[in-house]
Amino acid sequence: MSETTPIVEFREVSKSFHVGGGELEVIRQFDLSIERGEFVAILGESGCGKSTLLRLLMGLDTDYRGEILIDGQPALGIGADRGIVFQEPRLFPWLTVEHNVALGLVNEALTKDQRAQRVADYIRLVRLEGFQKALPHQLSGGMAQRVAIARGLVASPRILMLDEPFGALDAQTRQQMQNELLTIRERERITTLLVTHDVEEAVFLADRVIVMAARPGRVKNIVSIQLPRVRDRSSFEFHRLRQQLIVELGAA
Amino acid sequence: MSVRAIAGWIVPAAMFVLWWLASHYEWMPAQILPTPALVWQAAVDLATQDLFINLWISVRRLLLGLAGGIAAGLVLGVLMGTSRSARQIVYPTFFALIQIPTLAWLPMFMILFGIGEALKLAVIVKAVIVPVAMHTLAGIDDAQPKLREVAAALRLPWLVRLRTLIIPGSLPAFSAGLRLALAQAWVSLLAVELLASSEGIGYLMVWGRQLFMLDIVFVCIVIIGLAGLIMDRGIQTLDSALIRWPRAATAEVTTKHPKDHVRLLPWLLPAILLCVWQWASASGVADPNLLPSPSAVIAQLRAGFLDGTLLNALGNSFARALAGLLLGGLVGVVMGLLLGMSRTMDRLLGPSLATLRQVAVFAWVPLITAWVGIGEPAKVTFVAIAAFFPMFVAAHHGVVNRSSQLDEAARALRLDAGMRLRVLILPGAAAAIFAGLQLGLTYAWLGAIGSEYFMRSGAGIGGLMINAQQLARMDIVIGAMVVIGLSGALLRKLGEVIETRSTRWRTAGLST
Repeated sequence: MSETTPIVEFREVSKSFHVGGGELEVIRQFDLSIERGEFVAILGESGCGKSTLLRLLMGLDTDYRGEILIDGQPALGIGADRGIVFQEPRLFPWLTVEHNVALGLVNEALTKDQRAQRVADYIRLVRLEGFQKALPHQLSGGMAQRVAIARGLVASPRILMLDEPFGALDAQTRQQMQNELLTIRERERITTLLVTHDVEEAVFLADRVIVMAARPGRVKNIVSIQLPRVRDRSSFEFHRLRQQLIVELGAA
Repeated sequence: MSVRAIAGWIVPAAMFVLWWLASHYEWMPAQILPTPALVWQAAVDLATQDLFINLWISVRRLLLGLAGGIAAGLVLGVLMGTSRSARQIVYPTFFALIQIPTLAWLPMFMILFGIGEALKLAVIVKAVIVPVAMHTLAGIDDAQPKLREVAAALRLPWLVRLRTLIIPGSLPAFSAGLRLALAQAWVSLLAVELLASSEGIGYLMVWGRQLFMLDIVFVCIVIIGLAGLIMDRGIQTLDSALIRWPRAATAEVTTKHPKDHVRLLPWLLPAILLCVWQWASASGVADPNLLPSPSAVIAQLRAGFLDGTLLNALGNSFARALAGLLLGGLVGVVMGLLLGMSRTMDRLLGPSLATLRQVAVFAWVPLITAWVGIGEPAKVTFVAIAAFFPMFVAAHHGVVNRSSQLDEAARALRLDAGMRLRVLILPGAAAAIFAGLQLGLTYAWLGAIGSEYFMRSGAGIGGLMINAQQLARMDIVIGAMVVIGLSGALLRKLGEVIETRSTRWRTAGLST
């Protein structure tokens, strides 16, 4: 595996669902290579199959045509190299914050102490010290999503997948979480694939934005965001890119 | 003591004074209405003699049956919940069998097991298996698909998955099933002890009733109510100690068929059972008196339909169920509305009714036979009591749980009381009442069958069964069970249709 092999590669990936008697094509001929350490956002309106792409890469769904490669090798099943954060936190309501995060480590060969240390580290990383023993219903939406992020990261995956992770949060919390995500990434240097319908979120976070067209889902355009981080949401360039992407999205 | 608590004692106190006056001035003969002093004396006497021995016998039966029923129900529920093919094979047969209520199994069990301990055990196990299995199945089915996906993404090993997802996820449903099972087991046990027993708290009542010592009957009713209350509270405490997370709006435990049946598989088990049954009775392996062949049962059913006895019995029982439902349901709905709308009435009557509700319905049988006799009025009274509580609870619930948003809107619009009743309270309650009607129908139907077991006069499907049981005519008993199962399923279907029709506006998006 050479340094130039992309970490993730989608090759002509197509996906259909069986609906009633017929077939519904949700993704057509999707191609994408992601470099090591890159932050890619897939941007599209609802129903363009963007979440389905994540589920395919995660290995939650294996019924598709085409190829998905990780380090040049076919992605087989659900692997430790990938972590995922869903739109809803999906925490186990009967487990404490600590236990929920620790679930991310059940497949790692660690001693009890190492395990506890890792869990504590990641709870600190998402700034939830003091809430280790809390149950999910005692947390705010933003805090719950942070637990989900800690759970997705705790096993140190090389690829982090985010499925509209901040979609359910209020505007202010969302911005704050976006900043925190960048800080965490700064430390982890992890390849990130974000699915979102929020144009501003894509421009603020990603190195590259893949704009999808819907029905069936396919790549419409790819836009590189060259702005230095942390990006100024009120800058002229930021606005220009945002405007460009809104136009791209709208002109179906 | 708070105002609320004091208010709850007013009605019982008034009833007590009335009782004391009535017996003191002998408005009714002392034999029909024993004096409070006599009842107290009976309570003291019984407490030192038979009461606790008999109560312990009943409780022991209950515990044994519960243990067996829970174990079997869990196995069935887990089997159907985890294995697709097991569900396809077992569920349809299970579903068909549970259409026949525990009460209707009684005569058959009495022929098969005699009237000893085995009978009590069989009845309780039957009463417990169904809710435990159905709720366990629902709990496993319900274990959040989204969390299942997380478990897959985290590659949780199956043991961890079981511990962190399946068990806690199905715990709330299981607990709900357990509560139902306990209540049904207690009611069923009482029924069987009243009908066929020589010890136990139910027998004590029968004994008191036969000697026309109603003081003993009174004491037993109180004890049965208390036991019911303690069990219900106990299981609720256990539930809230175990489940400390907010439970998702639990998926309804549906008794509908899953849609994904393979055509042939569901018929496999019934076909095998039928073949074994026919073979066993034809070859003489089974005593044809104990287990008549399917063809004999069908012949008996045919004969019963042709000579009209079956339809006549069925019609009589239906008429009783309907009359009782009308009476009890009407009173229940009016009381429910009243208590729901008036806080004063709720405080006055709420606690008394909640307490009375804990008395297993069959405990009223000896009192009814003593006061009203064993004729038609007595049966209808019993059915009315059985149908009263579900209708009362439904109506009360419907009023109390009205949309607080609409309530606020109504207040903002300054609607007067009459208007609020018309546009807000009644429509909301109507939906709940019709939903309750489904349960009310079932209870009334069960009540009608039960009343015929205990008050043997006039024709009826329950009476038919209990008479057949005494003649050990298993073919008639099984035939009647089939008829009861079918008519019960039909009634439930009817209730469903009424409910969806009457609440059609719900889908029109009034709230949101």
